[in-house]
Amino acid sequence: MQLTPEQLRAVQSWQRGDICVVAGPGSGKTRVLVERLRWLIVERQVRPERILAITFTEKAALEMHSRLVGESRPASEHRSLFESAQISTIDAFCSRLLRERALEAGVDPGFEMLDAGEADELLAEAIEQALDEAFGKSGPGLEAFLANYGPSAARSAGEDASSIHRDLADLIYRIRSYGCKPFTTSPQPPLDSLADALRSLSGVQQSEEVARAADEARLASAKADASPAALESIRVLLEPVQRRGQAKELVGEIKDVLLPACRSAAVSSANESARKWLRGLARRTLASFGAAKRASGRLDFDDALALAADLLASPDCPALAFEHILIDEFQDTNPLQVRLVDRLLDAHGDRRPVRFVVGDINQSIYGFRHADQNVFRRYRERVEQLGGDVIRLLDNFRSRPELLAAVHRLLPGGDSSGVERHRLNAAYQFPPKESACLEVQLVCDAGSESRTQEALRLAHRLRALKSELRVVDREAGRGTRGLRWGDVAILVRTHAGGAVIAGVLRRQGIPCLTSTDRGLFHAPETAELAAFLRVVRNPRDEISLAAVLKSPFCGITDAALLRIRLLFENLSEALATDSPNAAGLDADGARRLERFRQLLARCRADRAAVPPRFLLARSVAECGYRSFLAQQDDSDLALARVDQLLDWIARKERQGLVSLGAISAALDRALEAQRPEEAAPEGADSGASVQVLTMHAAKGLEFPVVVLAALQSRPTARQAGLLFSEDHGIGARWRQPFEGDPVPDTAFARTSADIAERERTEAERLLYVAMTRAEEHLLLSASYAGAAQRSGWAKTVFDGLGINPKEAPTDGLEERTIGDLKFLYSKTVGEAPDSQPRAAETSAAPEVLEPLAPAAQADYSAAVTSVSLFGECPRKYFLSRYLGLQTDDLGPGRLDDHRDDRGQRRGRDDLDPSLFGQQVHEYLAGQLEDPSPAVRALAERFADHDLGLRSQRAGRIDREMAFVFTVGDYLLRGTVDLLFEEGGERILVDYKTDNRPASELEASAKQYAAQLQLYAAGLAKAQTAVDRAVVFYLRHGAPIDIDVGNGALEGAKRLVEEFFAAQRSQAYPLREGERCRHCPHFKRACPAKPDLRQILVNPAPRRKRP
Amino acid sequence: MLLIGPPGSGKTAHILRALETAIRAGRSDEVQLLVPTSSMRNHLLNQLARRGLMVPARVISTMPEYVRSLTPDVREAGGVVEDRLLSQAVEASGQPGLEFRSGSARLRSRIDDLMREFWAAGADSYQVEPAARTRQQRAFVGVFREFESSLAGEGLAHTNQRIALAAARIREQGLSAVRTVYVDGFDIFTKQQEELLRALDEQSEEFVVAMPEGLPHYPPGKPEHLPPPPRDAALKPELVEASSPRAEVMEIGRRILASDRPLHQHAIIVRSLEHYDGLIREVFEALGIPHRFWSRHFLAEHGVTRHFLEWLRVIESRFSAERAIEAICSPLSPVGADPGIEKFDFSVRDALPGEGLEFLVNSAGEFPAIRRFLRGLAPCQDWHRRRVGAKRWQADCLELLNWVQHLRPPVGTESFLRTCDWRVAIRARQALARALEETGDLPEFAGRKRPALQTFADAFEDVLRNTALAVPDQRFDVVHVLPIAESRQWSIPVAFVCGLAEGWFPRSFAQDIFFDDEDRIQLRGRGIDLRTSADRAQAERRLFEVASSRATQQLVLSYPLRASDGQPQARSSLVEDCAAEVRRGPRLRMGSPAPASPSEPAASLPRGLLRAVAERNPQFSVSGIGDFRQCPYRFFSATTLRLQGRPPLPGQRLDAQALGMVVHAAVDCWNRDGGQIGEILDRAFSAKLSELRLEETFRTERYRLALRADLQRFADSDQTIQMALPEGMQSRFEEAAEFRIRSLGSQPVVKCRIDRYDVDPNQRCLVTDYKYARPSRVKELLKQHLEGEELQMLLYLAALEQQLSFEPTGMVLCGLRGETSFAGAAIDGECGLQPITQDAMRALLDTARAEAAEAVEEVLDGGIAVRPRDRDFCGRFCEFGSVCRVEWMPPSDLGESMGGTS
Ligand code: SF4
Repeated sequence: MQLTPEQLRAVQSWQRGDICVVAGPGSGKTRVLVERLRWLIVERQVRPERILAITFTEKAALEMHSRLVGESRPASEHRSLFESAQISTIDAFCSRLLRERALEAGVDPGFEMLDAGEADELLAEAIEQALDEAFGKSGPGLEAFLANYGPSAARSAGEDASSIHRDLADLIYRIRSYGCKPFTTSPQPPLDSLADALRSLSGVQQSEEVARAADEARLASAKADASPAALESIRVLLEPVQRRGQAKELVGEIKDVLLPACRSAAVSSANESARKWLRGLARRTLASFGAAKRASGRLDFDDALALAADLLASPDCPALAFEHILIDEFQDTNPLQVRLVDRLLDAHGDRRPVRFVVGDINQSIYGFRHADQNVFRRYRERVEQLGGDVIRLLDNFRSRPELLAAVHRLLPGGDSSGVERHRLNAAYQFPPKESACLEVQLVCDAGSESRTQEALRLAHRLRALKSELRVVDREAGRGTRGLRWGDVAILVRTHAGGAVIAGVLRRQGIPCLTSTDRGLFHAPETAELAAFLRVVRNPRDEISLAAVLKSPFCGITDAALLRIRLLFENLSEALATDSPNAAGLDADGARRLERFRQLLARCRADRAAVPPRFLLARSVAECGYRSFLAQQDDSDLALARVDQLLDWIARKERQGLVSLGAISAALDRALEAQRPEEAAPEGADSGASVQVLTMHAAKGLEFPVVVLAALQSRPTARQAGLLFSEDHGIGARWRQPFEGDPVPDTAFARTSADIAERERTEAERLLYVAMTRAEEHLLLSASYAGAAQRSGWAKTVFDGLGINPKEAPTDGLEERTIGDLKFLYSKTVGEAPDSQPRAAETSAAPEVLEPLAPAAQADYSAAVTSVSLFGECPRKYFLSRYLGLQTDDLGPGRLDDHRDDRGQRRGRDDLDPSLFGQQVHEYLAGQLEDPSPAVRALAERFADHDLGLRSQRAGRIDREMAFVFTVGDYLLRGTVDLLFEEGGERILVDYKTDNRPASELEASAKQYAAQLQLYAAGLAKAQTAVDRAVVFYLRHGAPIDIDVGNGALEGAKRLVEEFFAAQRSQAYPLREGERCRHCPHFKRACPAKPDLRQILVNPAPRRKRP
Repeated sequence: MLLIGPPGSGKTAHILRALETAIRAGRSDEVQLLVPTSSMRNHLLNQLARRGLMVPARVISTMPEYVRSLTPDVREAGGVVEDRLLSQAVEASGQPGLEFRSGSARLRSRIDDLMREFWAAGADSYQVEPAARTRQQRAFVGVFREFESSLAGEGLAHTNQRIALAAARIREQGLSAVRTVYVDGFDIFTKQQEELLRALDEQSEEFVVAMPEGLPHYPPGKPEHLPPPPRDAALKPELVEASSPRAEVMEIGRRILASDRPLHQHAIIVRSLEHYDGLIREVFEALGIPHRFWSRHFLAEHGVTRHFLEWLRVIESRFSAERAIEAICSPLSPVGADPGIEKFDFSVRDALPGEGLEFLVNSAGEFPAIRRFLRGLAPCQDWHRRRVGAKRWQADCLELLNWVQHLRPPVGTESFLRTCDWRVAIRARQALARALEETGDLPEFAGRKRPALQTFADAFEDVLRNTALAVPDQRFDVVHVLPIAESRQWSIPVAFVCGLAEGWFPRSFAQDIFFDDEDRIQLRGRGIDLRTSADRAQAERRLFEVASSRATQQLVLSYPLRASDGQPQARSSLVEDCAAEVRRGPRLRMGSPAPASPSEPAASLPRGLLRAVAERNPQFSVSGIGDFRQCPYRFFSATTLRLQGRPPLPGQRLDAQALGMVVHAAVDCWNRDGGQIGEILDRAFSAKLSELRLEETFRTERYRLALRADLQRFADSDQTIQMALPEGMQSRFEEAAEFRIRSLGSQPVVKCRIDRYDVDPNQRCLVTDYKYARPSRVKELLKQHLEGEELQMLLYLAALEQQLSFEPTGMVLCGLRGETSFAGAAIDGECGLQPITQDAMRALLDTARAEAAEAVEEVLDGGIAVRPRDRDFCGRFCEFGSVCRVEWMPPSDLGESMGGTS
């Protein structure tokens, strides 16, 4: 599609300085941005690293990037240029800048970003600490604050006690979003004006009260003293004065404006010490919050912005060389971000880059996140004044003209409106359509379940639309197609509203995907898994244990719970006994309990060595919890939540919370805080489902059919206890010594007035944004427990469309017209007929992965000494080599170092006999230059022996020769101590430093036989078959010959097979016998109980082949 | 000779053939192959052995081993020592620009990396100095110099110096028997390594280096090019798109499970381990797929290590109870399996806040073994202020380790997975003891230094961070998980390359914080060659070639659309040229060997248990009946089962219930004895605080003031109601009363405690109940009473009537929260209360009695239905929500209309 002339003008605007693009909804703004980037890079040959494009979300950045790169595939010579274009959110830009300039910015070079939940926790700690510290240092400010701070109008301080913490947290975030330090102004009460007004009033309404009030006011103004008491008495005096007659406005002005302003000012000064204390507290909290973050090397988004802005302003700032900066959605930037952008420009000195800013006041909906739409307004005005390019993109390529007409009718805009007046031109050629595109649905007298009723009616209506509506096939580029569920979006104002609708839709069988589902920390799965972790941590927590016992982890009945309870003082004791069946459970219950007992015992034993995340993942898979979830209604979502929880735990683990206790506690805290932000994960594939979104989440999206639901509802925001604004400082409300609600101080009064005004106008813009998401059909819906009321958005709709909500219900859908706008209207009362649940129209069921049954496993290689040890006693091998254990409890005993191939010889301790042995070996191999006398002495036993002498004559000799070879499929590793050829005989020698009585040598050599036989077998492969193999006992200077005949070698090879077979079955039988006495595991890790008397009588322990 | 070829072109195979020939001919002494890593060495040795040879291990050697064997006399610093020296250097240099973070491990590692880069480029601090322009760069050079001189001072060499020395020795001594030297597996050489190669080249008869294409190489001269591997025509990569990294790993798992090949013919090649390490383990363990990570694990990460470190921290914190309890209850602790440990845990929790060993010992009163264990820690009590030599610390810590940590590995036939975990744990425990020794031996502690525990522990942690933990895993039939560097020498039938998302692979590198690209380009002019972003990008591309040429039969490339935290991800530009068709992985879900089911909700208990129910409920309370009517299951959990949660932590103790009790106590006291209500409240409040073992904090103070204000308002306003009472009324406070439920015979008794009632001489009686509630709630409550929804006050009246034959006249609810409020009803509107008729009152009382009787009957009949009267109550006030599983029930089962309440 061709660019319109306006779009083209925006793309190719080539002026220095600032360019402002006002881009209405659906005006192809992303396209313009992408085209401009392309044009700059290709046509104007601007180097991509000289261009910075800033988007509002990560997703938008990605989309722009992929459009830029993707659409350019044919012209691939530019691709790498496009790839290196810098398109990112402002946050990402800042963190990159800080990472590369960590030193200049004074941040930890490896800093991590805090997420909102973590920031909240740190802040809460900082607040608690600051408050307690402040409490420790009592003073008049503290006392005044404690006595007078009264955030809640209800005058109960019960909750205030804890709400002060929340109020402070809010305050700190507010202050930070302005990036400024808390400060205050001391307002002057407008006493003179009050006195003047009262004087005029007394001229008009001559009553005694008015006269006295005027006197009081004059007096106060003369003394410049506005004590709250004086103002209160003026208020009381004026109470009977009515707003009537000529003085109506004057009375209004006095009562609504002047008097409150004076009272606020009076309250401000009366509470000055408390306010000062509060400012100090805010400062300290900010400081300790910052310190806590610094200490852990973490930043939150506001920090990153503030630090980046500081960096840009500092002399250390790197030279920047952007030539073009493109900013999208400028109407939703907050003051801190704006400051950053300004600094970014300033940092360029005289070579200021061209700023290309896109925005639309009408779509500014993030005021609650402290975005300031005036920023864009001011920018536009400035560009206009300076004669710069202001380009308006008002052609709308998204919506049917009727829908745009509806938008204009309902939200005409104007001076006091939040919406600016500009008409959108319908620029897309839709095929003509008979029926109306706009629809209003009203559900009245629906009782307390009115939302459910509304949703039910919506479900019916959507079904009907699905069968009758045809929409433009934009993918195909022409023609129409039937409606799919994925074409429909239901937009709601608040999360809570969406959850109800999604629930009903699902039960009505309409697949539904929502960003408004219960978040991770509100979900029952999370609660259940958290209970499981608590139980693993300590099963005595009976509430958690009972929950887990009833959950799919175990699944026993309530009756079983009671049975256990009757027998045990604590439920957990049933799990400590080995015979849970003692509780008199039925067979199924006993089986379940036993299975769970094992699971729990395993988890409890493993919880130190296995990170909590794996413990949980394993348990969830093992006990079938996942399969249980898969059978639930919202299985995708439920399963996704489990995964999300695992990810959450993984994140915590990375932050250093590693013990199960720490994770479990953090999870409990998160559950308690019920953070709403942890949005529900994405479940199924979105193309096949209706999407239920908040209006904010719908920003930037478009759908063929849009439903705006629950138009009657208004968000119920928590009244802030503390406010902050750049102009007025910190504001609060204060209790008065006399009765009545707490009175806001001036800062609070002014800031909250500003906020109220912002919210009013923003509500209009939100409706504007929501309505303009629709391409072809827009359904406006509201529901009431009783009669319909003209309030909120519903009022806008009724007034705009000339609907009288009190009229009788309609008979189905009625077509109406107002002006030349056609719309469908329905009003129903009472419950919807036919609300039976229906089977889900789901897309193909997901494939189920059945876990693999555990299979036998063996190592692929082994040390020859291991095999030989195995031959001696499989259990000993298992304990010493396979597990690596030296004594049974690994507690008070000392562990020897163990290296797989030469485990017997490596150790570190000087007193260690194995080290001694190793030195002897090294000396004999000629690797030790300066041996101790003892080592030398022992080694010389060999040198003096006949074998030693022969080896010195040898033609060929190898010492300490490490090698690898195979027996069957298995790899064996070993080290031959000595191999030499002399007199036509090839001799293999293995030295032993064992300290055994001479009488046992023969027997003890047997246990080394396999080792030498395997060496011999290996050597045979190297064409070096040995003629003789000898175990040489150095302490005795005695060689013992080992049979290396073919038969013996075969036996050794069989042992190898047995060895690996034992690994596969993980069965290592004991081989009890006399040798047990020398075994380090005897009477410890090993359960062997050889009858030693027997053995002594009959001292030839027979080796049994397993 | 230089062998050059793209990955997979058979360079290694060529060399192995040569080695095989030599070994078969008995000339193994004459050949030597040098490779970069020991796993590559083992791998090649095994490959040769599998050809039926007995392969002498010395034939193949890693470059570091080889260098070490040539320079046994040189002392190399090694990881920890360098790390420690570096942090001292950073501290000592006091360089402006770095001082703000001298302790930052991450800053140190940046400095460390950069120094190594310079060394590898053959530059020392003196050569770098003239190039330093900015303050930060000068600061770096300062540290660099300091570090080099401290190395020299300690008589230590760094690796590069050692290599240079090895090269010199080769030149001096020749190669003895070795005639042919092969070098394989490297792609870049440092200056010193090149020097070594040159020496080998000079001294050997034949010298062969195999290298990938397109890199600066050694030796110069004309290379022999190997042709690219003859690719199986069928081996076209598949490109799979998944919604998340987990879905990606599941898809890989699915393919492995579905494949006919044995597991060991599959490998997963990972560029960004940090994103996949845990996920692969998690998913594969859940799927039961045996797998082996070929990546390094560090001792510092193991649970055994953490447990011991936690103990050191406990000691440093002077036995802060909250810290200590975790460590004591760990299964690694010698008392971790003590039968009393769980009780002990909760008794400490209950006694919190507290610190000091004595506190713990006291809490262990009933548990002799635990007490003994804790007593054994007495010598550690003064460790936080003790200063002794490092050797002494080492010995003491070892003793501590032995005291606080007992491993009880499995001895039976356990599942393989568990055995593996334990094998690692045992290695970790052994390595821990060695690491202590190593710490004691650190040069910084040499001489007569007497570090504090903190210093020693910091050093110890550095040692742990630098100690790799050997994972004794040599299972054969496993899926291999290979970091990309490790995958180099592999060739495997099926390979998965995952995480092909922009920023992960190719990995995005931030500019170096000291010398950015521009600086680096300038350095090149001075002959110091450091890598720039462009070089790194090139290297990523090469890595991708390596990864994607490992497979011989099937290659699957994959990427997630979103990261684990939900952030959208772009597909890697590396795959853009693969020309593979993108396939979206199917939706998957993990099954399980044993699908579980929760218990079915039952409306009542089996008859056999009814006697037990009766025994456990010998009598009832009015509030119990209220509970039951809110929800039978709640009554069951709270009263019949009497489930006890864990003791609350200090911060949770002052809850609504506790506040209500304070208010009641104060009001009662004031009602009886009069006096200043503020003072009464203060006394009651402090009593509560000490009962709950809480200190005064800002928070408690806010509560106290709030209650005080509320009660003051009450005291001021109560006068008015007093006045409205007719003369001659007698007031009673906090009286116990009870009544029988006749329909059930003489047994069931309902007990209550009445806040206040007033009787006139005609025995007409008015009951009052104080609620710590807001006016609106009080009004609502009265309404509920009058509608027969709420029974409490009616049952009070009924009890008074039955027991004392008073005539029920009216009820007053007094709300004490916020504005004091009264709401009440009385016959004929007495005392200015809302009027009701005598008959209506009668009717209400009758219903109340009947309903109470019904509730009691249902309890005794085993009724335990999950039937919340008010769903809002569940989440807000009922702690048994997870036991009843109300959240899981379809709304129809709860008797709700569709949708329920939100
Ligand atoms: S949470 Fe609700 S349904 Fe469950 S026991 Fe408590 S009151 Fe009953």
